[in-house]
Amino acid sequence: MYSTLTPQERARVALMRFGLGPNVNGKKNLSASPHAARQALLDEIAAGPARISEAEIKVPSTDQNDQKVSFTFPQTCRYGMNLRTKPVPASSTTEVPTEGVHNYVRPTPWDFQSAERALRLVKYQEPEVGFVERLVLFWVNHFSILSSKHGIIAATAGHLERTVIRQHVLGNFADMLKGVIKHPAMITYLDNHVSYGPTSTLGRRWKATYNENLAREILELHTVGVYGGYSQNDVIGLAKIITGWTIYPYNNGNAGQFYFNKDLHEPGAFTVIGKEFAQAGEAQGTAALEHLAIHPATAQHIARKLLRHFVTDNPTEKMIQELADAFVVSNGNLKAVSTALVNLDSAWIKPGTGIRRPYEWMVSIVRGVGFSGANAMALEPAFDIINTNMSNQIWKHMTPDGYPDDNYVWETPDAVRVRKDAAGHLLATGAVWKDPKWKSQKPSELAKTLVPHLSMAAASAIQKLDRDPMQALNLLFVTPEYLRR
Amino acid sequence: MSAHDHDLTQLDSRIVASAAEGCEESKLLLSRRAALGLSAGFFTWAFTPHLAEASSSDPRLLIVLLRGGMDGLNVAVPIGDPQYAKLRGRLALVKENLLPLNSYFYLHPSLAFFKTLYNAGQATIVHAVAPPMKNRSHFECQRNLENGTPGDKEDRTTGGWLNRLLSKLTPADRVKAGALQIGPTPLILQGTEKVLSWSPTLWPRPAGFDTSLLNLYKSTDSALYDLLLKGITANSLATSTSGPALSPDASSLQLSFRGAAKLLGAPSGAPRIAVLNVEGWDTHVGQPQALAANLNNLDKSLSDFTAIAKNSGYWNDTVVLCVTEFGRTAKGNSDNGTDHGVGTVAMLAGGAVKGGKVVANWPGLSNLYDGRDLRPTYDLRQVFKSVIRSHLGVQDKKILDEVVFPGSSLISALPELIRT
Repeated sequence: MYSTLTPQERARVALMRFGLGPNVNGKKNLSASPHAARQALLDEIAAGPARISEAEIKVPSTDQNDQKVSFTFPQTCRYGMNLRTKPVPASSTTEVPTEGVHNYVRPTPWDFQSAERALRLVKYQEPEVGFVERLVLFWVNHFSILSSKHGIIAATAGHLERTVIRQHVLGNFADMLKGVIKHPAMITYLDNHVSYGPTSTLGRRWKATYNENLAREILELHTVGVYGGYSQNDVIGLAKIITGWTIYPYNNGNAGQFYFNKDLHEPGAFTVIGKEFAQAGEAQGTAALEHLAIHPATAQHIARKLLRHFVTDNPTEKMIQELADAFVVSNGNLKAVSTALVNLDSAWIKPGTGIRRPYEWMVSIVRGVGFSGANAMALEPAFDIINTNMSNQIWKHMTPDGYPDDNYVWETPDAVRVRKDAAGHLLATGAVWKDPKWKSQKPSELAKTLVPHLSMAAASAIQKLDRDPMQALNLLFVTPEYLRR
Repeated sequence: MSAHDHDLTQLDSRIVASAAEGCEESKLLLSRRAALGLSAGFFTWAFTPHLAEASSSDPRLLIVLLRGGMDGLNVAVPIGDPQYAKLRGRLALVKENLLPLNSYFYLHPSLAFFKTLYNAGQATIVHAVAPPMKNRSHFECQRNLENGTPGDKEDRTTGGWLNRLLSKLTPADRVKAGALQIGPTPLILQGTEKVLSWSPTLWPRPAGFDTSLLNLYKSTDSALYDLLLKGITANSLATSTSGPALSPDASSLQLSFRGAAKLLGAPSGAPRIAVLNVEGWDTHVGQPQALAANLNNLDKSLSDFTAIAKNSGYWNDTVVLCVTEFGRTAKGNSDNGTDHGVGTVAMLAGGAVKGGKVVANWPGLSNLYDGRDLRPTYDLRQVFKSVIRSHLGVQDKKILDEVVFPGSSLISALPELIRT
């Protein structure tokens, strides 16, 4: 309970449970006053998410040189579809489609993904606590996609995060949901681009029918949840409603971008969880998603998931209900819901339990050391390999349910063993020992700055390694104070 | 990620044909589902306490969870069923390209090593089988397969049946270390019994670092100390270099099977039960290539496992059991793939398997479940019970029917799967 925690404990909960860990360049003392930690979270909500613009994403322009340039979303989609275009100037576009496997020129779809990930290693270092970034990561996982399935997913995964999830992370859930379901990455991931209304113009011609995949996961995972009271008929109804939600094909100048194809859309009215949708065209799907987005079962599902992610594997029904009420009352406004989470006294549980997820913990190493923009981005390949190895890299979960929140999944003997290796590998990749600051500062001093509540045993163990900053910091980042939440 | 990061897609031949007619939509780049993601394989192992009721043998069990829903109809193909070719259409496999199991069922050609085991009487297929839950949801059906409940009502049961089984066995002195796994713990092993884990060490720490950290944990966090110590111990067991020479060019799934084989072969205080996940059987799109690649990788991995188990002298005490959460629709879909179905196969291999036969109470493809899927005539729990009773030697009906698989007193073990 919030009331039973000391200001120091509240600071720890704010950083390790709600945030991305201590920031070496942080400016606030989160335990300076009784409510400073909670206020810091509310301040970040008030400030809103960091915006990331298209122009900040720089990918290699060609195989021939290392020059990095930015691309527009339409260009990015074309690269995602493996359609080659000369990027500059856009008006003189020439196209050489390539075929087959391993026959790529840069930028590849995976270049876009790497660039997006690299830039985030810079952005993660900006906020004091990183609560809103954690919310972004929560929703990225909620709408889990697997980028290795298709180039268009890899190329646009970052765009989905920037322009939909980040955009609406403190907005309305309905807007986020609609944006995600219309995004080429999600359309392609869950096969809606190959879903055909059986009596639509093209469905008849091709004798093809709908594909249930996206509709099923919208109900089971994205909105009302598996116990949300839907049936197979609701799945089929929703699948038919969103037939025609697809992406432009190869031979179109807008290849890879979302569009509604009326010739694929199944005509007719269909019912989804007790409500009939008779609208024509794309509006039918929009209405169905808006219905699902504010459904009471969705409120319950989202509330439970938020609590399981940020607080405990076993939230009480009372906790769930309080958060679900905030969702219902605000019609699914995520700023209201996120604020309610922070203001929920029972969400502030005693620190030092459970284990932090590998990804957020890796980010906290970057924040704890502090890397300049270029140096942070240079960490990305290692960051990717390490997180993949720890089964927690974004856009790499195999199934649409996202990474699990259960603590037992992450707190295992091998996972603990791998953490120490992972921290060491990241520090080595970042060549942390080269930092001239170790001439005037000892790692044990940095440790006390970052973790004021560090145990005597840990402080002394780190101090013993002060002459070897790599090992000293390696130890710091796997102390219980850093690993636990 | 592996090469499939760069493997954009296959074009659907029907779409290609339509494209030739000038149909714009048909030029969409179709993708294979994430079906080639075998590289994500990881395994889990658990110590089996010495079984009080077992004979002098020292049984090993490797459970392979094929996640995504494997298409049993194209693994052990019912060539003898006249409906097969009709229903499957262009996805239908033809007898000439398959490996005969008997006059009715034929095996997918990518399972050549499995076939040699079958011929040697050390492998079998159980056909038209499914977990009790049949709602075609990956998550629900996987959960049901692993938690061992009847699946007939809303079920938030936590914990897996294999862990419950472990908790009921009698521990002997030589084994007390608990269980072991790589990566996320599958539900089947969750529960009160502690689980250990292993994965390859990619970035070793300088000498002395592990000791410093163990000492720190010992005085500050006994839970972390316990976990780290077990992790380090498991690693030294798993990285022993003895054994047969195997190809240096191995998939990560093969490496996982090899690690499992080493760990199961370790002599004293070693694991006797392992669980290994294989992702990527959800073949909605472009199934022929994806299924062949998956089966080929599985077959090679099984071959490596067998070589190590034989070399270590425990193959004759071994059962490898491959199960999946559901089968796939009897008809193909319009994307050269299949959608979520119900009935499928379970595959058993090992020196302890009474093999060389297909075990099926064949329902016929003219009698589909919900008019669309292979009708299951066996419950997967019947296979599990058979292995637990005849291989692990646990006969106690109360444990089997109420603890491991609650509410399953009417579900009987399938006979004749295990040599006794």
